[in-house]
Amino acid sequence: MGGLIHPPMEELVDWADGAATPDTPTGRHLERCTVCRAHALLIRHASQKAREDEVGVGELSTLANAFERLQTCMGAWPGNWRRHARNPAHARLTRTIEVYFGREAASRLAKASGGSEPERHLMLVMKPMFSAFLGAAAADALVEQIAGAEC
Amino acid sequence: MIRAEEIQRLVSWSTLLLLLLAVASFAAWWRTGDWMWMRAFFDYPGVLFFVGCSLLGLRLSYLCWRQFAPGDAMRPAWLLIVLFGLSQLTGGVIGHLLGSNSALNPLHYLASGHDLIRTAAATGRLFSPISMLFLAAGLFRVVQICRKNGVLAGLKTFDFLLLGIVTVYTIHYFAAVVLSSQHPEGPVTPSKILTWMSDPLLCVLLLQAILIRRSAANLGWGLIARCWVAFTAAIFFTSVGDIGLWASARGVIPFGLQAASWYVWYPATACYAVAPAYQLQAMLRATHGPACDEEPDAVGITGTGRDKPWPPA
Repeated sequence: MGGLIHPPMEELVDWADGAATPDTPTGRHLERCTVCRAHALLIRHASQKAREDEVGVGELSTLANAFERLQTCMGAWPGNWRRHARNPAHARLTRTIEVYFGREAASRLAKASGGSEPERHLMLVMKPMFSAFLGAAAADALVEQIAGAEC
Repeated sequence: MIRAEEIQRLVSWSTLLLLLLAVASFAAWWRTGDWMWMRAFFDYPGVLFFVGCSLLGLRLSYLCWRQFAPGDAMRPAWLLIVLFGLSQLTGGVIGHLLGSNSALNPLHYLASGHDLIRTAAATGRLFSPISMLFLAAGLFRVVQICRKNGVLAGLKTFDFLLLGIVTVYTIHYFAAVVLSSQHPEGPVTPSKILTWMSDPLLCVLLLQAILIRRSAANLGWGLIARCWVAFTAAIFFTSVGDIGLWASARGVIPFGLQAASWYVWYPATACYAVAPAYQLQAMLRATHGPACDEEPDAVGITGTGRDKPWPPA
């Protein structure tokens, strides 16, 4: 591979996202350079995984199951949410739920998730509840608000 | 521009002030024996409070309804609550303001005013079952949504007891007044049939209110829960007032309790006005972020909230 100029990371990301075609300099380079191709494929895999994590089709059933499980747990358990919301992201979500629905609801969600559910899943699980009582527009704004605070 | 939280505070302080005035007028009447003190309270601050709270409740309910987009689950419920507020206000203006002999009543200054005042007082009473019907339909939708979201709680022993008391009272009222062969209040008219609906509707409302109250208690004390607890409290006060009137007419409760039942309608009206304020605060806070609690302009009750997204661009 001596003498080859490896493309920068941005171009590998473009290729991984499908923005760069095989007839571009990056495409031609990746046909020859196995190291760069391996990097680009890794980026593509990570990118696809991230997109699926948003709300992947395959994950919809998982989310539905998580929602059902959390609802069941929330209906049965009282408790102290602070103990189960050590994760700062979870603490933020449970605080939000506490403001709108109350401490008991926040406590149940925190305890039901046990800290094992990713926050994005918890937010998606809670969104129908927010949407039902506050309206879709307010629920969307709330999700954005929490996501914004996370960043 | 007024903040939603300030509305809650304003209504609470106004209710407290009104009840202090009520105590003062009652004490003056008790000491002097002059009924004028009581009339002065019911015809002026009492009427103004009732109409003011009804107007505020209607305005806030309308803003809540407007915040919901078409297709939102709660939108039909809030439309019915707006209609409840409208009929409550109409009934208040016609029955309490135009149906009274106070100087605030414009009919009082007309030559043929006396007959009109009597008609207004009778017409105003008809709006009570109509408003209850709208509220019952709205709360039915709320109960459905609670059930769909898995937060609907069951009834407890005390709830059954409370419902039992109101049901027994309703059955007794129907047996004594409605189903009686000799109607003590004259011939049966459509308006009379409409007013008879009040008690069965109150039973339904109380059942719905208890279900929502239990569900809200299960969730905790969030803004949304507080909104429905305020409605529950309002319905509970209305039931107490209604039973108090019936018990006073039959002389089955001591005078102190009879007097208390005259004033229980004011906290009920205050709760009806405050309930949508909590919902509005929750919706505006969700849309604009917590900053709206500190910036009066963001949470103005002008209802422009839907046009302002969060986070701001």
